[in-house]
Amino acid sequence: MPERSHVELSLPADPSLLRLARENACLIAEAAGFGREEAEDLRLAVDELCVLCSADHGPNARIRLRFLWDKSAVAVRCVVDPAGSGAPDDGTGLPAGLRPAEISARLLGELVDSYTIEFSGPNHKRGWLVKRHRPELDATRRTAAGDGRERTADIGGSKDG
Amino acid sequence: MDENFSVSETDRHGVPVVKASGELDIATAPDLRDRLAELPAGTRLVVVDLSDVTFVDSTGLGVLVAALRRFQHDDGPGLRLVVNRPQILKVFEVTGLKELFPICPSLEEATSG
Repeated sequence: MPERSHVELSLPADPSLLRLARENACLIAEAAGFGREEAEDLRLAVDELCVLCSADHGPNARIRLRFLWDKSAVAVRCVVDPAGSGAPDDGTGLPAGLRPAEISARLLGELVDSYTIEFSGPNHKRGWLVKRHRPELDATRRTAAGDGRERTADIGGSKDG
Repeated sequence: MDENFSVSETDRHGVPVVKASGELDIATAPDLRDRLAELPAGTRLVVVDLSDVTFVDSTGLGVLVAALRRFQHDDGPGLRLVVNRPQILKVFEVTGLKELFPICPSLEEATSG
């Protein structure tokens, strides 16, 4: 495997196609040497990243994902090219802390080492995440968060679109 | 309907059991939401069987949270979940929702008492 590899994936922001992003995340986790639990974490984290970035857009928008990995970590950047707007179910009516976007942010905070969601223009969000490879975590299943994981990234940290 | 996801409803000892199978995500969560919405709000106990769910994201969790509130009674929650896959249970753990939902490891346990 090269020292550092990358894959780019572009797909419509159609909910039924998000599985493509998840499956891609699994394959890349495998290529990076991640264990099963780490791969599952990345799979869910990439799904949440896409959902958060594309929530305000209709299915005609496009999600562009860039996966960058080496032996120590996988970084994923997500940019949504807006086209039209959707009518997302934002959980209005649910109590604070239990809305899907809040649950999504909580999941990302627990599953990866760092992540960012930012506005790069009106209704134009982009984000990135980094998950480090920790072989010891697949040997002993994590049951709680806050295990002293670093919150820094040294690959894939470019936030430009 | 996503061909990789299905929702069915059965009755077990008088308890409606809504069983989801496949990946519960932003594309399929509306199917589960719609099926749960068909049940009367006053139903004493509803079981959502997630034992054949292989993936759940925040959108799926949002549907379950809404259902938990809808079937909440004065004497406690009227919704129980069946979860027996570690990766699904982990999602409830890391979001703190495990403390909110009655989660059972088997359908037998969820529909008893």
